[in-house]
Amino acid sequence: MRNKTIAVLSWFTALLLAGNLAVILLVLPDEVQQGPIFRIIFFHVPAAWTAFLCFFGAMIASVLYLVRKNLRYDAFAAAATEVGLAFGAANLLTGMIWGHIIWGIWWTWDWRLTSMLVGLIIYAGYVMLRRAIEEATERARMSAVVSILAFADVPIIFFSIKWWRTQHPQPVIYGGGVMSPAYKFMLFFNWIPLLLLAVALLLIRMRQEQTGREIDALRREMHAF
Amino acid sequence: MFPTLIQTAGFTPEQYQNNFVFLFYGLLTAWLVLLAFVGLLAGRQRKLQRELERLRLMLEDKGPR
Amino acid sequence: MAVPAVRRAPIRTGMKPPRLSFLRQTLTVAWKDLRSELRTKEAINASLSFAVVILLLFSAAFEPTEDQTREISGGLLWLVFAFAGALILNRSFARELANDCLDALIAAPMSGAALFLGKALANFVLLSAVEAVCLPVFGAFYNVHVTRQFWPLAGVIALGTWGLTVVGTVFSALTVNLRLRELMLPVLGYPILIPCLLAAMHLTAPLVMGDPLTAELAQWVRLLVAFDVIFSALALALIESVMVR
Repeated sequence: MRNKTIAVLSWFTALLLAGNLAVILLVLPDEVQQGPIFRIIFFHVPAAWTAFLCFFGAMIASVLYLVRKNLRYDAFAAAATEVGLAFGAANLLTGMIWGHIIWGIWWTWDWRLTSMLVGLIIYAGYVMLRRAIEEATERARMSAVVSILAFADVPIIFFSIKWWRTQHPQPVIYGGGVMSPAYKFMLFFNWIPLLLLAVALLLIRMRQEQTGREIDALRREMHAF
Repeated sequence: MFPTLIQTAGFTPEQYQNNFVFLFYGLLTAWLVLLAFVGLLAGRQRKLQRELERLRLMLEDKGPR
Repeated sequence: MAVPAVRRAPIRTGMKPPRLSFLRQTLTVAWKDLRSELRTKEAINASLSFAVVILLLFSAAFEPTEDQTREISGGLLWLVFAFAGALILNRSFARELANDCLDALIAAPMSGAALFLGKALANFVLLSAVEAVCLPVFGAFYNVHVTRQFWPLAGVIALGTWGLTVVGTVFSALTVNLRLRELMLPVLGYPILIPCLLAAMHLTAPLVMGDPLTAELAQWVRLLVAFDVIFSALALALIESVMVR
């Protein structure tokens, strides 16, 4: 049943993406100031939204784990964090490429990119922590606490870095001004396949956690005699 | 192929070409990152499956309790 | 060391208000930690030496006499506090591992919040002591006037140190049983501390130069206070989950 869900999701996502790419590359007109590179926004921004949604979901799952002690929530939190890291990395790298075209340098301490980088470092620490703890319930407990602290920090990080960078000359990636309605629509519309992809990856990753636990159970059975 | 070339202000054809090339690099990067993650998942899945099979075989060898 | 006996309330007035008991528990833990640290002075000495070494290294990286360096020295100061503080914070719970003291503390009839708060208070005092020694050394090395805006500076340092302490103590409890404890505490804690350090650096930079705080820097003060409040609340709420299986 789960396999079928993942397969259907993946096919639907692929079709939607192909359609969107065609529209993005062939149909939509250029953005006046920045040229074709601006089209990267259709992946750059929804990737960030997806990453945030994942980290938010991970926090909710972590709270639920601490309350209910069901390891399924822990599996969700771990999976959501890793998927969030992948989409966040995609956001960061596309932002750097975009910046390289617009200003000629790879990293400009733009507040959005910097905040995302800090967030990714925090969640990379989460993944590292999970690797360091072997016992399942202890790992779940500790990572739940870290996930909650990390997500509580995310808005604070964004505000503080935004204030920090407004004290220095601000290179603006998004070109300011008003986006044409066609662009705005595609921005949200392209979020859908990315979200579906995130869900598919999440389901796959969650199943791996479950398999991992099966293996642990088998190992214990092995050593029981 | 891209009639919008004329509409864009201030770009020489060479700059425009470069701009487009980097757009493709950017899109490629985004998808490479996600593909790398899928690869990571697939690799981990294979490792888990192998471990599962190994343990099942070992348990069978030990025989019924 | 003798544990102070709990005072029995006089029968006619009934039960003692629970708040005082919590306070007593907290202060007992804090006092225990401080006494045990002051006896050996291990963490404080290590921390102080490390701080001086870092200050020296920074002066090798930047020219201390240049005006630019004097401007960024406020930021450098907080890097020194953060790095040297990690040594003290690490020891906070690690000290209890020998002889199962940690298990004894967790099993003791006091709330996890009291244990946490006691340790956080002790860490705050120790960190402040290290910073108090660092400040004149820093002033001398970088030729900045640390006494001109002394009270605002002390206030900012106190707020920033509390942020460091709260987050550091939580992660100290979290990482105490890990093999790579000394590595995981900084790796997890520093990124989370970025807003606190950012605010403290922005406020300290003009203060060590002797300039008063301007109105536009008020947002950093608000950020620092908000960070301290939010993370103190979160730490108190989550500490039971960290310590009790």
